[in-house]
Amino acid sequence: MASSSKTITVVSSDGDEFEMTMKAAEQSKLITHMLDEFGVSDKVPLYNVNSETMAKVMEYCKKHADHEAAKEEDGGAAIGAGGEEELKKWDDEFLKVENGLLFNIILAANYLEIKSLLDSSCQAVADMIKGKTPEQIREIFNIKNDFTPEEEAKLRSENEWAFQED
Amino acid sequence: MEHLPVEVIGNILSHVGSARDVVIASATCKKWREAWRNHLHTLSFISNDWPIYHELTPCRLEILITQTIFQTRALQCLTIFMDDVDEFSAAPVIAWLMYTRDSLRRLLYNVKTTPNFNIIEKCGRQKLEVLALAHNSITGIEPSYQKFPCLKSLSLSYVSISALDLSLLITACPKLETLTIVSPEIAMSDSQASMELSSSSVKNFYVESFGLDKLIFDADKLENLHLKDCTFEVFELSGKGALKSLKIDDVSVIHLDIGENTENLEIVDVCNFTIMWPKFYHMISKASNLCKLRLWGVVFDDDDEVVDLETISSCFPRLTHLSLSYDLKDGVLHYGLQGRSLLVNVVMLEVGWTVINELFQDWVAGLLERCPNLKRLIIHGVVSEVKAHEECQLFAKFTESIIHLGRKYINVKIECDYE
Repeated sequence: MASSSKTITVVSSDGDEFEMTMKAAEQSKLITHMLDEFGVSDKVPLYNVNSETMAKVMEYCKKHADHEAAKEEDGGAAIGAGGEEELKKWDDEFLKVENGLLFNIILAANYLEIKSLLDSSCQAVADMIKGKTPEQIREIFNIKNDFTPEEEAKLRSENEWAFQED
Repeated sequence: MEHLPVEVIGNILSHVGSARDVVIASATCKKWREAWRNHLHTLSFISNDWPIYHELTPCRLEILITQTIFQTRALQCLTIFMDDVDEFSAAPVIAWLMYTRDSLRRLLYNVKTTPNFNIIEKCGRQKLEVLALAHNSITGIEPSYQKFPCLKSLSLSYVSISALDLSLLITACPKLETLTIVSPEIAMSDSQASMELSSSSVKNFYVESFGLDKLIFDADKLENLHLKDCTFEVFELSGKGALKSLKIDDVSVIHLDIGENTENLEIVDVCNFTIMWPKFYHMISKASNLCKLRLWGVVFDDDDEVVDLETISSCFPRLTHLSLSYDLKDGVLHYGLQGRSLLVNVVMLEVGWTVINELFQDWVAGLLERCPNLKRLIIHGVVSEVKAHEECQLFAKFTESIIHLGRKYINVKIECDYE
């Protein structure tokens, strides 16, 4: 296995190159798998991810890799419970971006198989959905209502209990 | 949003979790409806999520839960926490379990079911990783054909089960890591009221509101033991000495035995406990890797007993966190601070009082002298509402002494937490 001080290069769909340490790369199951199969010498093409999103993903992977390393170092004594909370706060701030970028982060996390990022980013969108009506949700995410009025009425009657007014 | 594949929408809806919100969101567009029907993996019916739940009859709830679950496919996590429902009837509950049998990985269910049926038998066992049951009875465990090959966490709260069945159930879970038991109703066969449990995989054991004459737990891999609000005559832990953390809170136990091998013990946290110091000391004295020691609101069985710093520094050279709060008596204080050895690794010190007295500031000063590398001092105090003049004066003197100590030990960050 390559040492943790080695770095690899990934290439975004815009052709920009990004360097990341092995430990950061290990946050992504896909990249880990590709490195196992094809070795570290070549640049890893990630043509599904544009540069703006890639930069964010790099930041996430580095932060989480550093956190893991710190945990391993002093046997978790310094990190403790407070450390996990701090990381969560960092994640929350990290995901405060406009919707378009958030969706791209979700897509990237899904593609690169970074489970923790996928969970956090999906949770961020979920938090925007909770307590909203379908009209409000369509408004926030710019979604077209492709139900016919009959279809929509049928859907509401199937789950009448949920649609009743408070 | 249009670019997100339907499985990812399913994942997002799964993070919404609460059934009503998910159902409403599914009416957004066709793709979301498909995500709700075919790609939802987590669904919960929690009474606190929606006030109207409290207004629906159990029968109405049974119907809507059934209708909703039956619209999904391949559900992995199902939570039904209905706090003010007295009981659900067995038929719909069985229907929910049978419908989700093949895919369910997490089941959390807290409603009493009538008539009682064997939940263990009906729920999907093959893939189940987390099972949390409350307010139900478990009977008739047959470990030979009722195995939980993937179960990692089992939690039983206010569950009625026999001692034998509980022990069989645990052996039916070869990968069990976390076992939580809260206020169980244990049916005993003999009058001695004792229970022996055994697991080769459990790492975390949490017991709350439980009383028994004797509880023996044979667990080679146990790392965390937490007892709260329990009463035992005998509590014995046997195994290969993997214990890392021992927490005792508001427990009464006459004979506590955590085994001879305590070299992995890192945390000992004792709260609201009557300590027989010689016995207790014998139990933890060989824990040379201890990092955190907390004795909070403890009472010593023998008035002459005391925790002395000399013993602590020699037994626990690696100690980094020390928390002490107990009644200070004159002679006790003096003896406790005897000696000169230093606690060189202690970086955090927590002290507390429930009734302030003059000894406290001397004690804090004495402790500070012995912790040369201290970074943080946290003072916990209980300040009573009606403050007599005398008490106010004591408090003022105490505040002055802390200020003085703060000036003397400039590297220490002092925090106060009063309630």
